Amino acid sequence: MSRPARAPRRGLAGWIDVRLGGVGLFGGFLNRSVPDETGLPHTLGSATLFLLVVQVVTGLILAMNYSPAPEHAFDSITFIMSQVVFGPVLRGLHHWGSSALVILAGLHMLRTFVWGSYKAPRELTWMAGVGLLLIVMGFAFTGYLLPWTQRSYWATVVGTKIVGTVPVIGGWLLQLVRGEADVGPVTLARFNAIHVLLLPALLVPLVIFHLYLVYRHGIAPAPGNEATVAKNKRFYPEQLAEDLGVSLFILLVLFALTAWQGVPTEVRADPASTTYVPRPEWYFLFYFQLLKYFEGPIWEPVGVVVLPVAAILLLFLVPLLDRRPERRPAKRPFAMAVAAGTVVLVGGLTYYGAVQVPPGTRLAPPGSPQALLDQGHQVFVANHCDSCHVVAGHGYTVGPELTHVASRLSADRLAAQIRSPEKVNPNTNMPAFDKISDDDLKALVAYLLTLK
Amino acid sequence: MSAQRGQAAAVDRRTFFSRMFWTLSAILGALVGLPVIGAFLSPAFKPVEKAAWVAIGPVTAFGPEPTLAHHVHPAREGWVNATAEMQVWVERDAQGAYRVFDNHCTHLGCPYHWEASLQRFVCPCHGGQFDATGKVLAGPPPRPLDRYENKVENGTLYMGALVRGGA
Repeated sequence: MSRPARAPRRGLAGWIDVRLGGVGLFGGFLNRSVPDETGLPHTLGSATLFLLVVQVVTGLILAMNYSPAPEHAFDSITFIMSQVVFGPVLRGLHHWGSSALVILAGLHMLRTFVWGSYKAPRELTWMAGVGLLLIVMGFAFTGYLLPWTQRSYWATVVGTKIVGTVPVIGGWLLQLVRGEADVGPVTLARFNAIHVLLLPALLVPLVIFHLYLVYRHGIAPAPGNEATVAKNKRFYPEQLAEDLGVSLFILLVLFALTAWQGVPTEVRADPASTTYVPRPEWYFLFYFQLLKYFEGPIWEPVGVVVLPVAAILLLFLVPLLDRRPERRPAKRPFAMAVAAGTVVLVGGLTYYGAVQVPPGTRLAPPGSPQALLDQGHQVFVANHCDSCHVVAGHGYTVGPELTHVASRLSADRLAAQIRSPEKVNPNTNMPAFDKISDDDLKALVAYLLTLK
Repeated sequence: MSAQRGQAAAVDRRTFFSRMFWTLSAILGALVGLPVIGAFLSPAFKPVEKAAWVAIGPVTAFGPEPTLAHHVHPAREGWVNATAEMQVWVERDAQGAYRVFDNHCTHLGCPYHWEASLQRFVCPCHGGQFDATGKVLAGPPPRPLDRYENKVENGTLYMGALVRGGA
């Protein structure tokens, strides 16, 4: 049997098609029919893909202006935020995009699970998806360290330390992850290379594989609709227009978060700090919280090794473990219970992880002198005082060093200097910080008075 | 008749979604592409920063005979704040005006020196020679020595922006 003759394409598409043969495949991907019921729930996958593209292109510009060395990483982020055109926008999109990506990938997976779309013949699509989820989590974990802030440094110290509690090979694993005994320059370079080279190299082929399988098997009809499915809806342009509409909505949310929330200001990493309470980013909080319930030499390894490995393996093997063709949620009470249980468990652990203050935390009670000093330090950081003043070796020497400022200046003089520097010294270069509230000014002065 | 109308409706629907697809593509592309491409191209349009005045030393240290002045020069490049040792040749002319020369030959950038016996700047690499005002006297250099703007304030000599030799 010979293939039915096809009219040769004309123009550029024809030229390429004759040589590459790719237009047919690509055109086939776009010009296909999907089940009539394909709609909003199916936009989650394409929205995830769109977010990946946003992360890649914004990350490209960030990488061009970033230095993966402890001495320079934090300053290069400040450079991005103050000197790079569109720098704050791109960093904001990348920051909020990472959270959105985790959420959307999770929702996409949940939708696939509830609809039973992982069942034959789409097992490999699901497995590739689990692989992509792990890659996204890998991006989230390695990217977190890069700004080299207190938060990112200590979250990584704790995050990697978890690996170190694995019995027998823990010490070896810890060194493997960190690249050296402590989180330091080698770790930062290692995480950077994984984040910008290794993971993207794994991501791209796996995304293509995932998409190829989606194309090969088509979009699954609604559960229970397999026999009578009508495919009148066109993927291009109908479904794709919906996909892009949802992507646009998500992008606008990211822009809004960037405009109104920005990227939280953080202090430069201080490995010598003894008071900082390490907390992971919210998407790892459930695991962080879970580990609190596993104590002692027997249970700790269970929480650290057995549970995560088992969970990932289970997730991966879902389509092989559940091979009944039945896809209707109502007929799959056990699967639905497992899904609901997982959602409640992860959600609950995240919630408790967020609200529970870890034991041993020396968080100053509101109104206490220490709380005032903490607030003052925050004001110092938020107003970028270190852009002109050195404190204990950190900052720039545009203005006078402040390491021992309290030995030179009184509280009143400090307050006046900050609010209206030109009244104290008409020749000063210092801008007036007259937008700082009275409350913040009091806290800032209290903090500065500790620098003796 | 109704079948025809149905077909027409399907075509209308398809046209509508096509337009929506391309409109949305353009909006998404612009929203993401504008900041990304803008950030990528922006260094090309960044105005060159005017060099700050940096103190070289007290004017009393420099006479009519060219002197090699050492000073610590603050430099900010990107996110790196570095201070580097810097050397410039300083010469005072008969009118009392100062000249501050970059210490690299305008031929291929070798550091040159003042040869007191010849009363010339001599570059050891390819034999370039300049007089005390920076003018080329011999050898391959294509233009006079590069200078820095300078000013005197409160008895201190300052250097500013680089001026290409001959400019």
